[in-house]
Amino acid sequence: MICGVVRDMLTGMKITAGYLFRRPITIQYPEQKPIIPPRWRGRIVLTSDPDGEDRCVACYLCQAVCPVQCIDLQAENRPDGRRGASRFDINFARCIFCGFCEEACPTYSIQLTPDFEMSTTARTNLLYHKEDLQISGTGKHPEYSYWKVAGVAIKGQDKGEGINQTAPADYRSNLP
Amino acid sequence: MSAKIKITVNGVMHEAEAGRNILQILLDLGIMLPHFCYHEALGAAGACRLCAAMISPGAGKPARLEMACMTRAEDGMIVDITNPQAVDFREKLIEELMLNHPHDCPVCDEGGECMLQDMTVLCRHQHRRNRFPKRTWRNQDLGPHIHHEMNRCITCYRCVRFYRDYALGDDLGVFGSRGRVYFGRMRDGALVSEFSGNLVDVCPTGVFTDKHFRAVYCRPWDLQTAPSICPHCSVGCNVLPGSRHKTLRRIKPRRNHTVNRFFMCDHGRFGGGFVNADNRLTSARFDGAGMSLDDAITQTAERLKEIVQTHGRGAVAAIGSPGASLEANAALILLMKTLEGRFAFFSTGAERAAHKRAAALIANGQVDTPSLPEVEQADFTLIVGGDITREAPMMDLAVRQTIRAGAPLFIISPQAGKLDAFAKAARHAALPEQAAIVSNIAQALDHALMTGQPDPFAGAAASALATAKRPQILCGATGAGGIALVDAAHSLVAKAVRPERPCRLVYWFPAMNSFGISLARNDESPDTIKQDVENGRIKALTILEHGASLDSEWPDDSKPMKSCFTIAVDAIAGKAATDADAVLPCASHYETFGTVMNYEGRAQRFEGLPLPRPVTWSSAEVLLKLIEALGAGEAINRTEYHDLFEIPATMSSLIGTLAPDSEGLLIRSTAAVREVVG
Amino acid sequence: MAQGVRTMSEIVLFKNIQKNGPELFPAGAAAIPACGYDDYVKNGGYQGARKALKMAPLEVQQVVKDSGLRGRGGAGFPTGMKWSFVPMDFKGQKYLICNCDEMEPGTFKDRALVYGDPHQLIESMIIAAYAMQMTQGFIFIRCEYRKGARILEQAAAEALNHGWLGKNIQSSGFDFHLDVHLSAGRYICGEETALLNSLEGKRANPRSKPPFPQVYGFLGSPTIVNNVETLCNLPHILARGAQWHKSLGLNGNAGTKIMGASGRVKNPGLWELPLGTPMREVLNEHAGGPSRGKSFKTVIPGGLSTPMMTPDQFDTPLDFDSVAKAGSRLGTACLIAFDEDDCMVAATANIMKFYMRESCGFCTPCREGIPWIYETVKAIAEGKGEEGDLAVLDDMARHIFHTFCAFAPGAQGPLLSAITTFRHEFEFLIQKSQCHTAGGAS
Repeated sequence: MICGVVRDMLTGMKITAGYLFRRPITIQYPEQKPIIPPRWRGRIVLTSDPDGEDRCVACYLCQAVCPVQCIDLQAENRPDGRRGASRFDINFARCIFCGFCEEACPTYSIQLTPDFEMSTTARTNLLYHKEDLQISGTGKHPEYSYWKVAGVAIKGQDKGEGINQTAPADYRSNLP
Repeated sequence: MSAKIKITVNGVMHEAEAGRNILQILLDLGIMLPHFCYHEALGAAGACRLCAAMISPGAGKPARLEMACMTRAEDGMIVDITNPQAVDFREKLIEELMLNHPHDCPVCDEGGECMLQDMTVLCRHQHRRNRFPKRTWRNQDLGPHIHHEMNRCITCYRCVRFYRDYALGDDLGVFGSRGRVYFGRMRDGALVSEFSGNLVDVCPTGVFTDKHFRAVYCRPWDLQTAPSICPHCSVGCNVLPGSRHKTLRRIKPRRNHTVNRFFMCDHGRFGGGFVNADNRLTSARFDGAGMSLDDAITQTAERLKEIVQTHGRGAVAAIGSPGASLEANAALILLMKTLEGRFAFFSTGAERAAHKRAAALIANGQVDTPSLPEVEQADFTLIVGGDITREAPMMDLAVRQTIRAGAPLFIISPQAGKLDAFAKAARHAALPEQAAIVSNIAQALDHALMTGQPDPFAGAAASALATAKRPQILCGATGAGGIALVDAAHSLVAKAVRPERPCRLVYWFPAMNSFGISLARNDESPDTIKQDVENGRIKALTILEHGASLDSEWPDDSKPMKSCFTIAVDAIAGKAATDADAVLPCASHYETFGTVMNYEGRAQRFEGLPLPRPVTWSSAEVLLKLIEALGAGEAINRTEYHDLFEIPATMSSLIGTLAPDSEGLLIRSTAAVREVVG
Repeated sequence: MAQGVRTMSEIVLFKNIQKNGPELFPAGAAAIPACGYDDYVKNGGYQGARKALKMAPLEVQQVVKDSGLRGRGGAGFPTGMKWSFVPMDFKGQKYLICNCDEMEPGTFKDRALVYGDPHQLIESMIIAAYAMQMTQGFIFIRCEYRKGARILEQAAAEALNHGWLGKNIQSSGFDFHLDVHLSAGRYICGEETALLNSLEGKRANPRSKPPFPQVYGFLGSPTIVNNVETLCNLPHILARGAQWHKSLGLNGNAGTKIMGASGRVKNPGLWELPLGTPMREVLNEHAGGPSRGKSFKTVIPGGLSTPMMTPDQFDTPLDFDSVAKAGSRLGTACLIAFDEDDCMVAATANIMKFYMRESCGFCTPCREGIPWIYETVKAIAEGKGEEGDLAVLDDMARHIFHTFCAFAPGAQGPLLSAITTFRHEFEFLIQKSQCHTAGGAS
């Protein structure tokens, strides 16, 4: 029995001793920046369409799916026929970075980024408004444009001019 | 009670009412068989083909795939909705409906309460196999209320079945054939029906959506709602206002199978703007100085005491409002009792007399007043005393159901109305002359079989009335016709009633709670109060919710009330509140709770939206605070409704216990009290 | 024309209009002038009606019942039984409607009857109306038959002049008014309830049955809708008796039937033949065999809405029950023939295009399903077929059956038989992107 105890102790010490001769994995943050995988679920952004307009169509799905209710928004109808969010707030003091909002988003607008450096000294600074969340690029899915497939007429794209749509039907005609 | 049949559904035997189709029975049993075109009010059409189930006429007989809505239930039928063939058929059907359905759910206002979404999930259709382009449509501009997005249509025909067949409108139709069926108007333009808003509700997808809600859109699951009553007319439709953050977003009908069962009119649906209005009163004012409501109440109480001491009894008066709840008006009467003042209600003396007479006839059980579903059952209708389409639109819709069933309609109205097109005969006469025409009909009824009537209209109406089995007379007790018209209608009904055949009589009123305040004890004519205010005899006047009273004639700018101290308890900065010396703001109708009585004397309870309101108290609460500030707090606890109103003591306590989702309580003064508390 | 093959015992319907031999009626029917009143009477016209007016209405019904006449519009429902559903004690107006909305592709038999012998139809309607005491009749005629409508109107005016229409016809005390209504031009108007809606000025959507039109039809009154050919048999049945009519057919079938052939046959046209004539005889003896020297691949027996029949079924007698036993339907008995060089995929695409265009758009499987089928078949025919396409066609072909009316099941007939019988052609096209035949679309 004694032998067993000694053997276990020696095994453990051997493993410990082995680490003495390896390179340390600790990095000197913040001087040294860690490498974060691209699918890291960090700070939330609102991306733009390839044509530079808001991708968010204010469908409220992110707000509905959010388990901590940290998202609040208000829809508006724009003169160009699009719908968007007139107000989009995320309370990062509440956010748990679960990524549900990104999964729920039908337009790839809301995306989580590999950025976690959001610490601040005041709680109110963690309430991000639309302008704080918006980025100018498309983020992931650079080609996708919701309005091209929605079937809704917007400025510059009439009914039937989207992807995989026929020109507006004429019910007064029976021609093929 | 109709006959019962036995029907087996998914292996379980159920008892059901005979003469209905299988889908109705399944839905009543709480078994969700997917469907689109069937609607409880509109019936089955057989267009969508979604409610397929394996149906066998009896044990041992082969089951066939049938549409449940097109199959009349017979005794011994066996229905299997889980059969793989039926499940597969429904899944394929949804696949077909989705072939051309656009990818716009994220921007569709129906999302969250969309039947197509629900049915797609229920039928487990997930994978799109169609690789061909989607059909698109151009939309139409359907006016200020309804947004049209034709791409979303699944061609269930519900819209035209409601608009044309149910509501008898003619400016929305179905065009084209095959895969190009289009629902819309001949050309762009506003829908003219008073019931166009119901298209939003009957459309199972987002073809017709509410334009006002669209402007301030949020998902229906985020709406906070409260069971309420529409404040716009005396029908008392049950509604469900929805709010979010600080504003009212939309109003939908709420089912009450004794009042409005499925629908509501556009006036009620789109007439909630006063809640979000810019001219809402948000702060209290006393003698021109802004202050907290508590301070304003204290100072007002002090001033009232002074006036009573200085000028004695009768120097204080109040005017109540038919647009305010029973509670608010009761508090106002109690305030006057405390101060030994006088009170009246908005409107004119003649109109009030007519209201009081009609309400008394109903409350005393001297007339048989039908509920809205009962109005639909009549086989003869005479409308007199106003334009029902404007003054009680939902009653107009109920009358349209009698027209659909082929019942004759006679109209006596001040001017041409929309129902005239369906009337057997319509007579246009000024309101004061209408009592004489009604009397003519009563006279003609005595000689119904005589030929050579002097008045062909009266003769035709009388002979139709004489042969009808369930006749009804709808009489406007709104005012100008006066007490004479109310009495004329009553005596016509009294003449038409036979032991084997009741003749029903509706008096409709100008405002939501006209019936309730007409039961008040000891109120004066508003004319005398107004005169006494103008000639300086009244030194202090409390005005309750003038904004909702429909009395825009008074106060009259040409006759200033300088010598009178006016107190306005109101939600909206109308004429009375702007000129008042003391302004006590209160919450608006949809933000408060209370009780109102509709045209049939049905007391209905409503709840308020949980909005973060600019002011916290209802008008009733404000007035009770004022009574407390006068040091008469104990009177509040002592007083019951039957002390202030002509209501039996038994009912008085029941009113306090009414639940907002009940059928309400029919207020009757006789011993033969009908208890209908749900 | 081989005279020896004639199996006809008697020419009945074409009596007044036969020109080129005993039973051949050429496809160019419109070229033949209509038989006028005098000629019609000279050939024994209005004898049936004269006889009927002397009988009691119920006796007339009984004669029709005994004659074994079955509806010639396609369904083959016994006419006498259909009539017996009309409540004779009904007080109000009852209506008789002649369904001349002949829009079935490949079918042109009613046109021959209307264009050639309008008085025969008018006499028939008088008999039917008298049998059911209907005082108002309508002829609902296809909008492309404008000339036919004019011919009928002219004939009706003649009949009115000679006291066969209007009040108290032939002093019998019976009134009968006849109007010709030109259809607005939809295939679905040929469906009897859609026809009623169309006649009432409503959308031509079929109505749900029950109630059947015999009880609740035009404007809610009892209404009988009969096909032109069905009605045209009546004068002859009345004039010569039920037993005579029964003896006309072969194999126990009653009466004659106008049979036609079109497509890949040498002599397309119409022939009046005994009900029960074998299909092979019609194709080879009357229609002269295949037109391009190739052998027949398939035949659609009754207009377009019936399943295809293959050469091994060509011995089937053309009567309602035998064709049904062979897995198809007699329909209008106007055959559409295809030969070996025809691409059945392209033909199916063509057929589906017709059904897609003519759907009334009321119920979902028909409105949405058929366009999808058409797009898919068209893509295959154009060589753009994909792997899952046949699975879609299989699913949809079985799906479009449970619809509001018989229109989509009518589309299902040719489709289902095409994708089962000629599945190899579909598979070949999907794999090789070209048709295995040299010929193009039919």
